[in-house]
Amino acid sequence: MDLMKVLDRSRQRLSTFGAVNRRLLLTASALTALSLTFGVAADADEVSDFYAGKTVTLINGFPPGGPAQASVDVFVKHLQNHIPGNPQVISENMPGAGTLRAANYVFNAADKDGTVIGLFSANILLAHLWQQTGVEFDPREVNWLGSPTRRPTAIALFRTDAPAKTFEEAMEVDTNIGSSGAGASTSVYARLLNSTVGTKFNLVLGYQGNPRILLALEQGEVHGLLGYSWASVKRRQGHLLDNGTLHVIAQLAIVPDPELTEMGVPLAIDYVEDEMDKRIMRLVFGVEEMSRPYALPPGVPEERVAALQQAVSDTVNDPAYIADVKANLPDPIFLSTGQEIADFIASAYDLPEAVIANAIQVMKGE
Amino acid sequence: MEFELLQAAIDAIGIMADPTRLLVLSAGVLIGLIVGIIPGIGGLAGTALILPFTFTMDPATGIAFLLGLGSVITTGDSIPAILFGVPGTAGSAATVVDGYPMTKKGQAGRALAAAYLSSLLGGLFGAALLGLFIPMLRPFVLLLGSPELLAMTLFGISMVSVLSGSAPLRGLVAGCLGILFAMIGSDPQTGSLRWTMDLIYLYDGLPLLPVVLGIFALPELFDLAISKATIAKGGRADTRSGMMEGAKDVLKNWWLVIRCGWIGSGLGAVPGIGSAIIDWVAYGHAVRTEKGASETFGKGDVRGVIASESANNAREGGVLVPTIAFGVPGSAAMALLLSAFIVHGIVPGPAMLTTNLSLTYAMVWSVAIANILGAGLCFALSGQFAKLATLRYTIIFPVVFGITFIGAYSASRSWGDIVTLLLFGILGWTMKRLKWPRPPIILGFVLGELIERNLFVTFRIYGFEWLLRPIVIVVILLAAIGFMRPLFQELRAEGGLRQIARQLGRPRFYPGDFLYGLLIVLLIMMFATALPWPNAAQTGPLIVSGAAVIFLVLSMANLSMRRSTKHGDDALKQPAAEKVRRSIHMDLVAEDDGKGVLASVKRAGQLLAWVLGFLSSVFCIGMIPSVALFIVLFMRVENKEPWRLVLPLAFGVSFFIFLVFDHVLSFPWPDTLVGAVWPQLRVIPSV
Repeated sequence: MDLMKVLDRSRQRLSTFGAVNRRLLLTASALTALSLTFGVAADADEVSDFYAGKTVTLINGFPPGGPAQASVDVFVKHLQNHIPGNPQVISENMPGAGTLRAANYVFNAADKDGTVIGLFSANILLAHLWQQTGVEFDPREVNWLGSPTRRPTAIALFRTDAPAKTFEEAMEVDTNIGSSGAGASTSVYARLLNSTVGTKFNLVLGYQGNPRILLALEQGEVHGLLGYSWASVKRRQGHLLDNGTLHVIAQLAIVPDPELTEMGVPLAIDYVEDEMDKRIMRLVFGVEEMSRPYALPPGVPEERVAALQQAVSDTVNDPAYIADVKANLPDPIFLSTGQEIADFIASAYDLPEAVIANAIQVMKGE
Repeated sequence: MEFELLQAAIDAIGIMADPTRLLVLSAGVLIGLIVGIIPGIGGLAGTALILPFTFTMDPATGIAFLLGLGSVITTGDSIPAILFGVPGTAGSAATVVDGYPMTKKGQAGRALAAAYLSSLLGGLFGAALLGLFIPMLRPFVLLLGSPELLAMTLFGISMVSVLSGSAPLRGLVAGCLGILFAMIGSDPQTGSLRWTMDLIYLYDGLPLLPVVLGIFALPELFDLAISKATIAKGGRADTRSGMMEGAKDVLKNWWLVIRCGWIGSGLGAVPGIGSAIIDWVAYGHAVRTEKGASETFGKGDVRGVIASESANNAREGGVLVPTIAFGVPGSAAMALLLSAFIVHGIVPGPAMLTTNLSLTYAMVWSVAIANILGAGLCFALSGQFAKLATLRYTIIFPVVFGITFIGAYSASRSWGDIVTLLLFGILGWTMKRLKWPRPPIILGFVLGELIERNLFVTFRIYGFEWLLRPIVIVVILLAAIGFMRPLFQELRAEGGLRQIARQLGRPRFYPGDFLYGLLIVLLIMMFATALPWPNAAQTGPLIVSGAAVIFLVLSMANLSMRRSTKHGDDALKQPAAEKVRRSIHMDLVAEDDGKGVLASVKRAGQLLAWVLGFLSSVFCIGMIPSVALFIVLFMRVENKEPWRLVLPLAFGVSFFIFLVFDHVLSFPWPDTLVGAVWPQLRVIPSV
């Protein structure tokens, strides 16, 4: 383990050395160019010279072939057209620990010259703040590039014959919520709502994945599921909504969904009175607004970071990309820029310590 | 209704008869066979690989491609299992037990043919079952709540006793160990990290693949290198004649094929019970029900191959049940099929049984056609495969060894996989040599997690009332009978408890007992570490590790104390010959070839040095160059193979690995020393 660290450090030093060398060369050639012609925007050229003919490796923290894969493939295909110098972008899967393994690798061990990009789950953004075990980086030092999509509006999906018929009733009577594990977002949402608005959700832990919980919901084993997306329910459980088996009792999001609001489904956050509770809830629901964050490790030269941030934004606004997503993917197109992600993280760290400590308890379920 | 179904089934034939679709399906079958043959790339990686290509196809074609691949993996994976004792995927470990000894006896052709034909029939059976039961799929799945799933996993684990042969206590210990290994990682109830030793690698738990390859594949490879012989004794291979015989064997045992077909599709429909378990349950069933099985199974009885192979291919039909009817993936690869559904706008659920019925039937036909194509291809090519078993060990060992390591690395693409493979390889080899049954480890490993999860959910919702549900009662009864009967038979064979008690004397220990000591220390350590965990996280680990210690002590006492008395000695000596024979019937016999224990251990030490050398080389110069280097060195040092053989082989294998794992699967390789010091050298793949 230690040996690996030493190695990493030596490699880091070497690659910075290489980068400096290269930069000297580039500057020299740029100066020559400058003296010969009228003067060019050196920055852009430098970046595109650097990336030209190179291969950029995307370390994808999700398992190969999973639900994230298709959207990553589409994004990468278009991203390479927007990076100056048009390097080839290849993607490698490094799954493990809910993308934490990939994040630790990219932010610590990977090359810091801008040739390694990472893609993680949104939970990585605040994992360090919530003191999750095994986090080996500070997200405030990371160079966030942006996120091309958000999770569709999350909801509280309930059986119509559950003891609680509405969100308000769920604050009066106990209901059973199916979840895969203590750290799953369903569990986090249940604990968060119990502690902020006083719902009486009891977690039934141990189901393997949302499809299994939805089956248990249909079988009547549990009363509800939290955090499943409205878009998915409509697409996959439409028949159960139509025949009156299931209904939505609350929206678990910051931005209301017009359709749900019209149906009279309340926003859970509207029931929160305490200002600090509200801020915590905005953090927990808010990460879903940037559900596929791409990032460069700390220490990458600024101009390359800026160029890649621009490339991510350009890609999401590229009509060809938009058409491709609309034709092939269920994902909503929604850009959070690198700066927005960094601001979001910074705002989270600005919260008073006591509030954070309280939130950590909710997150960890202690 | 019937008419509608028939109409849909016929429409589906029309859909599948499209030449492009058949061509794509065949391509899927071809890839599936290759994926099955190469140890390590299982159905999951294979499916992930071709998934993106299906997005541009029409739904029926894309799904035919995926199912074509998925259906025949369990046909292809029997080839390395039979020829080298290395299961191609986790699903053919049970095939090794009788298939590999058949190869050693020079019956590779017969074993292969039996495997293909029973795969084919099992696959067709699974597809037919799925096709017939389509109208009942949803009501059927709705009947399976958490209590029923729990009962079925308990049924699966009850096979531990029959798969332990006449070493039931050791089998129970192995089963407990498997369950404990499965508990490593983040616990669902509290999120506590159990036995992860601060390694991120272990947060998600140990991956199945390196564990299976370690327990079953490495020991066979080691023993091959220790014996320094060809796999097939006398270098014989029965190509033509054997294949006819193997086919006849299957037809003669058609009733076994059907029974195992039921087991395969039935258990396949239970999410989480994967192919890694199904082959063992079917094998255990065959041991229990087939005539004379306890004498011949494990020594090259073709019925062992038939049981495991027919069940595994029948699984694909079963796995589709929860997938189609509810969108609950029946296996990891099915989760990927579901993402193809999403891309094509297909919604699993009731629509699949009404408006999309012809698509559902197209899936049934895809599975059926794929099985026919897969088995046909294998039959056509396998005469040549069988000859592989006649090659020298200096050719087989380094090649299969290198590919096995890279295959294991595909599990999570991390050093952890390599270490896991090696540790479980050592454990597996030790167990094999000391005649501990290995299958219970895998049963415990796969089912342990499911049992713990379903147990918590079931008790949380139903309390003890879950035991009153009709399906639960039936399945639990079956499990109890299945579990207790072999134990009682074993006890009776030993003359009952009183007889055993009379044979007890002062304990006497042999060097081979060191494994007991090691395991007791390990288990007590695991028990102690679990003590500070929160309640819900420690309950399972404490019960299981406590039980394992009790079984260990009982087993140790039984063994050591009966050695000393005259009576016990006789009992061990006379039926000993027979007893020992029976005690291994669930597992391969390690041959000592008259060289004695010491020579074997010394040779094993040499091999371990080779392995460690290989690992250091991976650390220094990377995976692919290391495989090439290993092949060259091993062949030259061990047997002075001619360069004209060594070089092309080393180059060919490493190029193949580069093509498959680097180029196609784009693996992130582990960081290397050379790559760190001379970054320019990183142009070499995997450095």
